[in-house]
Amino acid sequence: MQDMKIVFTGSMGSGKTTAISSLSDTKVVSTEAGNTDVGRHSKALTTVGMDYGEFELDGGAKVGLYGTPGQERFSFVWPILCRGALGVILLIDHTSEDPLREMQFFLDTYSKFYSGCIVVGITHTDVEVEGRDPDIYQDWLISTGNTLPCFELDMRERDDVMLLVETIITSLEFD
Amino acid sequence: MSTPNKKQVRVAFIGVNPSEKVMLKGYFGFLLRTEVEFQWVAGNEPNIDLYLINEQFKGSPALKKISESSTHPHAILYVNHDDEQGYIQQNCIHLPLHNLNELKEWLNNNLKNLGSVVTAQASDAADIQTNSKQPSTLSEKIARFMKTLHKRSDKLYEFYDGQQLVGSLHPKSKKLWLQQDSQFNTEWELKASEQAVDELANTPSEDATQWIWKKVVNTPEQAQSVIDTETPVALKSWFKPTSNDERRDLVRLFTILRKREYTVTELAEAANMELQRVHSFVAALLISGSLYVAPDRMLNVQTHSELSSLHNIAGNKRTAHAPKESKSKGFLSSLRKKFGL
Repeated sequence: MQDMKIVFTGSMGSGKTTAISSLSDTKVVSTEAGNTDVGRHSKALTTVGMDYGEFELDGGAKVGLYGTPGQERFSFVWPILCRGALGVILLIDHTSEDPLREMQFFLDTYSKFYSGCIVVGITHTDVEVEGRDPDIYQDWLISTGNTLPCFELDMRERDDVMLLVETIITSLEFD
Repeated sequence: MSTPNKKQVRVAFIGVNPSEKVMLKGYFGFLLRTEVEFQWVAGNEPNIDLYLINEQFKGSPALKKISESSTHPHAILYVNHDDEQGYIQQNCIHLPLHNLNELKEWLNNNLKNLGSVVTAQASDAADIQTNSKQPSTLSEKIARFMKTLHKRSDKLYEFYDGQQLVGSLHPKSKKLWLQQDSQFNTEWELKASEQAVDELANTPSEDATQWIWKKVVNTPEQAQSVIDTETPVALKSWFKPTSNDERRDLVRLFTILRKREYTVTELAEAANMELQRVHSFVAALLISGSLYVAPDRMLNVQTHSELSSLHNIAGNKRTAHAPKESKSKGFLSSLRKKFGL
């Protein structure tokens, strides 16, 4: 496993693989399989092991990009992947069944084993979900006094992916 | 430096928003301008004669601590902001005040230090009536604008720039239906509309927060009148930068503000950014709702060592926020270079 890495985590279909692909110098290695959990998400393929990409810096240092499987049943992998991570990017699909609960679950779980920079990206907010305001995530963070970075993002947009990376780098610079 | 022949009164604001500060300073100045030299000081300074405190903090343990720790005789006036009525009741001033006589009387009764000074000014003040229906100061208008915007009400509002209708704004969804362009100024105002939101639901709209942000940042002189450089602000939530030009600076400011509250001056120094740019950003973030005016630092001080560290902002503490040096700095520079950040 790469010593230096950024971990992408979050709900199924939230755009983790897309984000990694836009940063990786190499073709992303994905362990996708047919989605047997169509009740949770309609995508045909989903990550069952993990995604892996990497990029190389001047001088040859490599930074690994790890995408964790989104399903809770793979949660045992998360602490292992996060060990020594430069940052964790948590992506939440606004259109999933209960995205706010997912965000709460992931933040609560990760806080137990990771104390570095966590950035939250809310994806698919361009899709209107009846009775669900895209502000529910910020509102919840504010109500709990949590000032974690949280943005509405489209992982297909490189600028949005760069915002996540910029936030992690800046956090490391001022840590 | 003090002015000869004037009484000195030391006044501290705690958690009072900038526009209300301006309003209150205006009232005090009008009532006592020739007789009293007001010294506006931080809440943790000694010998304060009068505390003006946001009513929301009434009864908080931190306030109790301030009150108990101050051996100097002092008065406390709580500050609230009502849309309609302005009055003083039970040591609480509800702004905007209708009649300055009420404040004069309160000062007479509560500030021993002033004594007859207030009485001497009474005749001047007696005829002065402020009008709560028509705000007397520009900053009062913008304070109302911010309050309505941040309440996130589910009603539709007409957005005015002075007499000009700019468009319709729905605070809950943060949608703005523009009719004409406007540049930020303190004449911005939101008035309840008789139209239903549903009537506009399917028509093209702007993201109100982003639009307001852009307008405020692009009018730095007006923006900087919203907040002074010495009022501490705190982070409420992050705001997505509108452009790549802003991204680096905004992320830097938010990252620093996550640690504690900062004044504009301190923030500019900690971020190593130009003061004017930070001032405009902070004003825009306040109006768009990402920051809030922090309660006085004293409220957050738990221990002597923490207090010392706050007093020592320009010292070693500051360097804790400076970008990392040497090896890790080189690595982080490589990361930035890799992605053109």
